[in-house]
Amino acid sequence: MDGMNPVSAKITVHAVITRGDGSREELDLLLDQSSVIDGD
Amino acid sequence: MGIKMASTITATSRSQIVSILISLSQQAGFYPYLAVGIGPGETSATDVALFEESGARIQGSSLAQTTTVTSGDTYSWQGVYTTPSTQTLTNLGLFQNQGNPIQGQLAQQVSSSTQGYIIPTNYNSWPTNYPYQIQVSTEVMTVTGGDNYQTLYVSRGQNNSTALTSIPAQTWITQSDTSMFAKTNFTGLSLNSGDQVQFTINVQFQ
Repeated sequence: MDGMNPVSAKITVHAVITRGDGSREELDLLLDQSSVIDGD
Repeated sequence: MGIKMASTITATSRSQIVSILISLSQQAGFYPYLAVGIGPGETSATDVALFEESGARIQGSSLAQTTTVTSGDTYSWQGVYTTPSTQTLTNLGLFQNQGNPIQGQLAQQVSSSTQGYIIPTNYNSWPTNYPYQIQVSTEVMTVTGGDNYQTLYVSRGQNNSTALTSIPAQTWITQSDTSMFAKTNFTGLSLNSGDQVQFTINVQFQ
Protein backbone atom coordinates (compact mmCIF):
# COMPACT_ATOMS: atom_id res chain seq x y z
CA MET A 1 0.00 0.00 0.00
CA ASP A 2 1.27 3.46 -0.79
CA GLY A 3 2.86 5.24 2.10
CA MET A 4 3.35 2.13 4.22
CA ASN A 5 6.89 0.92 4.60
CA PRO A 6 7.33 -1.75 7.23
CA VAL A 7 10.35 -1.60 9.46
CA SER A 8 12.85 -4.02 8.03
CA ALA A 9 16.06 -5.42 9.34
CA LYS A 10 19.10 -7.04 7.87
CA ILE A 11 20.49 -9.92 9.86
CA THR A 12 24.05 -11.08 9.42
CA VAL A 13 25.70 -13.97 11.20
CA HIS A 14 29.41 -14.26 11.83
CA ALA A 15 30.74 -17.56 13.11
CA VAL A 16 34.10 -18.44 14.60
CA ILE A 17 34.28 -22.22 14.74
CA THR A 18 36.68 -24.14 16.92
CA ARG A 19 36.82 -27.72 15.71
CA GLY A 20 37.46 -30.78 17.84
CA ASP A 21 41.07 -30.91 16.65
CA GLY A 22 41.62 -27.34 17.82
CA SER A 23 41.59 -25.79 14.35
CA ARG A 24 39.67 -22.54 13.87
CA GLU A 25 37.56 -21.28 11.00
CA GLU A 26 35.94 -17.91 10.69
CA LEU A 27 33.11 -17.21 8.28
CA ASP A 28 30.06 -15.14 7.49
CA LEU A 29 27.09 -17.36 6.90
CA LEU A 30 25.67 -16.83 3.44
CA LEU A 31 22.02 -16.06 3.48
CA ASP A 32 19.88 -17.97 1.03
CA GLN A 33 17.29 -15.24 1.08
CA SER A 34 15.88 -12.81 3.51
CA SER A 35 16.23 -12.53 7.22
CA VAL A 36 13.34 -11.23 9.18
CA ILE A 37 12.26 -9.71 12.39
CA ASP A 38 9.06 -11.32 13.54
CA GLY A 39 6.25 -9.06 12.44
CA ASP A 40 4.04 -9.77 15.43
CA MET B 1 -4.26 7.19 -9.64
CA GLY B 2 -2.95 7.81 -6.16
CA ILE B 3 -0.27 10.21 -5.14
CA LYS B 4 3.02 8.38 -4.83
CA MET B 5 4.05 8.43 -1.20
CA ALA B 6 7.02 7.39 0.82
CA SER B 7 7.51 7.09 4.54
CA THR B 8 10.09 5.91 6.97
CA ILE B 9 11.13 5.80 10.54
CA THR B 10 14.16 7.92 11.26
CA ALA B 11 17.70 7.12 12.27
CA THR B 12 16.75 8.30 15.75
CA SER B 13 13.97 5.75 16.11
CA ARG B 14 16.10 2.94 14.69
CA SER B 15 18.64 3.67 17.40
CA GLN B 16 15.88 3.86 20.02
CA ILE B 17 14.49 0.47 18.98
CA VAL B 18 17.89 -1.13 19.49
CA SER B 19 18.38 0.66 22.79
CA ILE B 20 15.00 -0.45 24.08
CA LEU B 21 15.54 -4.07 23.06
CA ILE B 22 18.81 -4.14 24.99
CA SER B 23 17.28 -2.36 27.99
CA LEU B 24 14.49 -4.91 28.15
CA SER B 25 17.02 -7.74 28.36
CA GLN B 26 18.99 -5.93 31.04
CA GLN B 27 15.83 -5.37 33.07
CA ALA B 28 14.79 -8.98 32.62
CA GLY B 29 18.20 -10.07 33.84
CA PHE B 30 19.07 -12.40 30.99
CA TYR B 31 20.13 -12.20 27.38
CA PRO B 32 18.05 -13.76 24.61
CA TYR B 33 18.49 -17.42 23.76
CA LEU B 34 19.84 -18.80 20.52
CA ALA B 35 18.12 -21.78 18.92
CA VAL B 36 19.38 -23.54 15.83
CA GLY B 37 17.46 -25.43 13.16
CA ILE B 38 18.39 -28.13 10.67
CA GLY B 39 15.38 -28.22 8.35
CA PRO B 40 15.03 -26.68 4.89
CA GLY B 41 13.09 -23.53 4.13
CA GLU B 42 13.26 -19.88 3.29
CA THR B 43 12.62 -17.56 6.20
CA SER B 44 9.57 -15.32 5.98
CA ALA B 45 8.16 -12.58 8.19
CA THR B 46 5.15 -14.88 8.69
CA ASP B 47 7.22 -17.56 10.48
CA VAL B 48 6.41 -18.50 14.08
CA ALA B 49 9.17 -21.06 14.65
CA LEU B 50 12.41 -22.40 13.24
CA PHE B 51 12.57 -25.09 10.60
CA GLU B 52 13.19 -28.27 12.66
CA GLU B 53 14.69 -26.82 15.80
CA SER B 54 17.58 -28.91 17.09
CA GLY B 55 18.94 -29.30 20.61
CA ALA B 56 18.84 -27.06 23.64
CA ARG B 57 18.78 -23.27 23.42
CA ILE B 58 21.77 -21.35 24.74
CA GLN B 59 21.77 -17.96 26.39
CA GLY B 60 23.71 -15.08 24.90
CA SER B 61 26.87 -13.92 26.63
CA SER B 62 26.74 -10.28 25.57
CA LEU B 63 24.56 -7.70 23.87
CA ALA B 64 25.72 -4.46 22.31
CA GLN B 65 24.43 -1.52 20.32
CA THR B 66 26.64 -0.95 17.30
CA THR B 67 26.61 1.07 14.10
CA THR B 68 26.33 -0.39 10.61
CA VAL B 69 25.01 2.57 8.62
CA THR B 70 23.42 5.12 10.92
CA SER B 71 24.38 5.66 14.54
CA GLY B 72 23.29 2.82 16.82
CA ASP B 73 21.16 1.06 14.19
CA THR B 74 22.39 -2.44 15.01
CA TYR B 75 21.56 -4.93 17.75
CA SER B 76 24.49 -7.26 18.23
CA TRP B 77 24.12 -10.58 20.07
CA GLN B 78 27.04 -12.82 20.97
CA GLY B 79 27.08 -16.32 22.36
CA VAL B 80 28.91 -19.61 22.21
CA TYR B 81 27.17 -22.69 20.88
CA THR B 82 28.61 -26.18 21.28
CA THR B 83 26.98 -28.68 18.98
CA PRO B 84 25.94 -31.88 20.79
CA SER B 85 25.89 -33.93 17.59
CA THR B 86 27.14 -33.92 14.03
CA GLN B 87 24.66 -31.82 12.10
CA THR B 88 24.31 -29.15 9.44
CA LEU B 89 22.68 -25.95 10.64
CA THR B 90 20.38 -24.25 8.15
CA ASN B 91 18.60 -21.63 10.24
CA LEU B 92 18.69 -19.96 13.63
CA GLY B 93 16.64 -17.62 15.75
CA LEU B 94 16.77 -15.46 18.86
CA PHE B 95 14.15 -16.11 21.53
CA GLN B 96 13.14 -14.63 24.86
CA ASN B 97 12.15 -18.06 26.20
CA GLN B 98 14.48 -20.99 26.83
CA GLY B 99 12.05 -23.89 26.50
CA ASN B 100 12.10 -26.02 23.39
CA PRO B 101 8.93 -26.19 21.30
CA ILE B 102 6.97 -29.37 20.81
CA GLN B 103 7.86 -30.96 17.49
CA GLY B 104 6.80 -33.90 15.38
CA GLN B 105 6.65 -34.94 11.77
CA LEU B 106 3.86 -35.45 9.29
CA ALA B 107 2.93 -39.15 9.21
CA GLN B 108 1.06 -38.50 5.98
CA GLN B 109 1.56 -35.90 3.30
CA VAL B 110 -0.69 -32.87 3.07
CA SER B 111 -2.14 -33.09 -0.42
CA SER B 112 -4.00 -29.83 -0.95
CA SER B 113 -3.98 -26.22 0.21
CA THR B 114 -7.45 -26.68 1.71
CA GLN B 115 -6.91 -29.95 3.60
CA GLY B 116 -8.23 -29.21 7.07
CA TYR B 117 -6.30 -31.79 9.07
CA ILE B 118 -2.84 -33.22 9.57
CA ILE B 119 -1.69 -36.50 11.02
CA PRO B 120 1.46 -36.11 13.12
CA THR B 121 3.75 -38.95 14.12
CA ASN B 122 3.30 -38.10 17.79
CA TYR B 123 -0.32 -37.10 18.35
CA ASN B 124 -0.14 -37.50 22.11
CA SER B 125 2.72 -35.01 22.40
CA TRP B 126 0.57 -32.11 21.22
CA PRO B 127 -1.35 -29.85 23.59
CA THR B 128 -5.10 -30.21 23.87
CA ASN B 129 -5.65 -26.58 24.87
CA TYR B 130 -6.66 -25.26 21.45
CA PRO B 131 -6.07 -23.16 19.47
CA TYR B 132 -2.34 -22.79 18.94
CA GLN B 133 -0.14 -22.24 15.93
CA ILE B 134 2.40 -24.52 14.28
CA GLN B 135 5.05 -24.07 11.60
CA VAL B 136 4.95 -26.73 8.87
CA SER B 137 7.60 -25.98 6.26
CA THR B 138 6.97 -22.37 5.28
CA GLU B 139 3.29 -22.46 6.22
CA VAL B 140 1.75 -21.47 9.53
CA MET B 141 -1.34 -23.39 10.62
CA THR B 142 -3.66 -22.97 13.58
CA VAL B 143 -4.54 -26.19 15.36
CA THR B 144 -8.18 -25.93 16.32
CA GLY B 145 -8.83 -29.39 17.74
CA GLY B 146 -8.01 -33.07 17.68
CA ASP B 147 -9.81 -36.41 17.38
CA ASN B 148 -8.24 -37.82 20.56
CA TYR B 149 -6.55 -40.46 18.44
CA GLN B 150 -4.26 -39.30 15.62
CA THR B 151 -5.64 -36.30 13.77
CA LEU B 152 -5.15 -32.59 14.41
CA TYR B 153 -7.65 -30.25 12.80
CA VAL B 154 -6.06 -27.14 11.31
CA SER B 155 -6.81 -23.80 9.70
CA ARG B 156 -4.45 -23.24 6.82
CA GLY B 157 -2.32 -20.31 5.68
CA GLN B 158 -2.32 -18.49 9.01
CA ASN B 159 -0.36 -15.40 10.09
CA ASN B 160 -0.42 -14.21 6.48
CA SER B 161 1.52 -17.27 5.27
CA THR B 162 0.65 -19.12 2.07
CA ALA B 163 -1.20 -22.44 2.27
CA LEU B 164 0.97 -24.98 0.46
CA THR B 165 -0.60 -27.27 -2.14
CA SER B 166 1.56 -30.20 -1.12
CA ILE B 167 3.66 -30.93 1.97
CA PRO B 168 5.58 -34.22 2.00
CA ALA B 169 5.31 -36.84 4.71
CA GLN B 170 8.12 -36.57 7.29
CA THR B 171 8.09 -32.75 7.10
CA TRP B 172 8.67 -31.35 10.56
CA ILE B 173 5.95 -29.69 12.59
CA THR B 174 7.11 -27.13 15.15
CA GLN B 175 4.96 -25.43 17.75
CA SER B 176 4.81 -21.65 17.60
CA ASP B 177 7.01 -19.73 20.00
CA THR B 178 5.90 -16.12 20.06
CA SER B 179 9.07 -15.20 21.94
CA MET B 180 11.02 -15.57 18.67
CA PHE B 181 11.98 -12.10 17.54
CA ALA B 182 14.51 -12.74 14.79
CA LYS B 183 15.18 -15.62 12.44
CA THR B 184 17.47 -16.24 9.52
CA ASN B 185 18.30 -19.08 7.19
CA PHE B 186 21.62 -19.59 5.45
CA THR B 187 23.65 -21.99 3.41
CA GLY B 188 24.31 -25.02 5.58
CA LEU B 189 26.93 -24.86 8.32
CA SER B 190 28.33 -28.37 8.82
CA LEU B 191 29.43 -29.12 12.36
CA ASN B 192 30.90 -32.18 14.01
CA SER B 193 29.91 -33.20 17.50
CA GLY B 194 31.73 -31.02 20.01
CA ASP B 195 32.54 -28.20 17.61
CA GLN B 196 32.23 -24.82 19.31
CA VAL B 197 30.88 -21.80 17.49
CA GLN B 198 31.20 -18.22 18.66
CA PHE B 199 28.24 -16.54 16.97
CA THR B 200 27.87 -12.83 16.41
CA ILE B 201 24.37 -12.08 15.19
CA ASN B 202 23.82 -8.53 14.01
CA VAL B 203 20.32 -7.23 13.48
CA GLN B 204 20.52 -3.95 11.61
CA PHE B 205 17.32 -1.92 11.52
CA GLN B 206 16.69 -0.18 8.22
